[in-house]
Amino acid sequence: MAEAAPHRLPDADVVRLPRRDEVLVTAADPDFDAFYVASAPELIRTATLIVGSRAIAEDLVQDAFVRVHARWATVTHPTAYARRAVVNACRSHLRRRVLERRHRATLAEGVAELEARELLDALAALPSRQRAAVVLRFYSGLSERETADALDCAPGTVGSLVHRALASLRDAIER
Amino acid sequence: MDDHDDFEARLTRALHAGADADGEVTPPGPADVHRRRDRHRRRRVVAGSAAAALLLAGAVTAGWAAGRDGDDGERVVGGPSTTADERGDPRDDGIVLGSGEIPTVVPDHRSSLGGGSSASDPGEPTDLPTAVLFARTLDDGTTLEVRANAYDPSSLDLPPFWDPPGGCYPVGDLYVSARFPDAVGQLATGRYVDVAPGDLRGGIDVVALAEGAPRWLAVATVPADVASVVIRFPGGGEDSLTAVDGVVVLTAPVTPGLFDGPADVHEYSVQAGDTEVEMLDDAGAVVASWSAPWPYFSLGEVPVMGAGCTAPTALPDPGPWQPADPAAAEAAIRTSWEVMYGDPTGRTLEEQAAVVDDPRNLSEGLESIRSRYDAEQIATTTVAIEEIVFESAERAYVRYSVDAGPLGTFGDRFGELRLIGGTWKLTRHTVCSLLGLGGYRCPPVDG
Repeated sequence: MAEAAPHRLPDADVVRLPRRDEVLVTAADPDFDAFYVASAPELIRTATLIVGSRAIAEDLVQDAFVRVHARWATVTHPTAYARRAVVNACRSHLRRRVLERRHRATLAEGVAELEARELLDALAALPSRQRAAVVLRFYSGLSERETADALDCAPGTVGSLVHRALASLRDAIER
Repeated sequence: MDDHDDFEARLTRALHAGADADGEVTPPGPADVHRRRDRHRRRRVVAGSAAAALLLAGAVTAGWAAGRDGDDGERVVGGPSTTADERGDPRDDGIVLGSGEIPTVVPDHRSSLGGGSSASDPGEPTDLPTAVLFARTLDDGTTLEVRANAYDPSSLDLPPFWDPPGGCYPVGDLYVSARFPDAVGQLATGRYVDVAPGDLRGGIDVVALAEGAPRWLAVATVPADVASVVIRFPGGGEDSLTAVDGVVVLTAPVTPGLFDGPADVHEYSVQAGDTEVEMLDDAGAVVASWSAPWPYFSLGEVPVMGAGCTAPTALPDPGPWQPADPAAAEAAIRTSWEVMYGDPTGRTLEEQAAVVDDPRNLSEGLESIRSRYDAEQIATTTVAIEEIVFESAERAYVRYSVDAGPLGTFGDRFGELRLIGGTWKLTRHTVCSLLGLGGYRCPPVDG
């Protein structure tokens, strides 16, 4: 399939074209490609739970991998690095609150079990950091330290975030 | 399986169901990643304009005012505690230095550390105290007022024996209130110290959207060796500034064509490109330059792993000077710990305060421990010391865990005790760290 033509701006003169050294090498990079193939699906699922939309999650994960690729030569822990990039991208996205509200509840629509739907709705109502902490701890199965690393905070803060999130989720489904 | 394990299991099942709700995940191939950066994509974002948010909400948050017209017909934009008294003498480069002392605050959900405000989330006004660092006036009359506060170090939940490298965590908040000739806007981000060479830490966003006059606005802390910063915003707008107290604030109009106007007022599209940054030293030599795809505005947005920002998960090694009777010292530590976190029945608030090294303004927090002990969900909570290490004969670090029953278990937490007047006392940081786990924020000692 032919690649879509780049979007042409009304005033093309003011848009800086990528310099040659900024254009990513398009030749195959077996290590990176293998890492991408192995890890992208799970990161998309994680991002989906955080932002509430598969389509947005796929876009954010693609963006994150662009950044991972840019530093591929110096990254020593690619899994943690990519996870952090994805969580950062999700959090940046969630700061756009109107879109966040707009996409709320769409995730739960595809789930059959009533309590799961209620939990996913309640999850969508949590503040973004609490939501990310819950997803990383209880979906991705990360330790408190790994979660703290992905969220760029102290491990103790993760405990506090999860503590408050679980209390809110319990309240929501017991109402 | 007890109740909280069961709830977590149900939650995990719900998350897995949600993750797969849209069917199998089939991401595009790696080649798409390789091509992606070369394309100018349309990014859908929500208005980064604080003015838009405030105007559309039809409300002015307490302590803040932002809008087109004030009572005297002029535009109004301000931060909390903005007073003329805080302003200092003007310089000849459009900079007016602030003269107020930067206030110490306890970070909360409104602060950068709490995650409420952030680099790309300028619509989050604060009523936390701030002081003016400086105000910048541009030739077109635009004024950019930069305000700051500092977090009370004792309120940060970090291991007491660990001093994170600069740049890992914000030490306060930075706010920019921008007044353009035809619009207003604001931006919030974290304030850092000891930013790594070659990096900067800050925020960038589009503001003044509601007025139909979008501007790029950026504020950042720079490394010590950087005297000035030149920025080229996505699309081509440029600005530069000599750093003021290690901080730069930069702005430029969003290039026509880059912004397609709001689909609704909260939502618009930008042909996103890279932000190019050049950092210069005193002699005007470039010490670092890089570009990052918007909305990123830091090499540290995704910090290089192993840079020392991850808190330790084990106690440090014992120090060279140990208590003569370590068993007795450990017993005394556990006794003090029990006074603080054991059953408070029969103990007075004063007795508990006596095992804290600095209990000023802590009575409310200590009372919350006592009252919560009686609450059903806290009655089963235990705070147990797992390990003790003596840094010296007069200072000990402990690793402890919190079992909060149905609310979960929190392990690998760290505390510190000091031998003062013959009693091992928990440090204020240790007490406040645990109170923070329950959502209580200790006030500053002099607050």
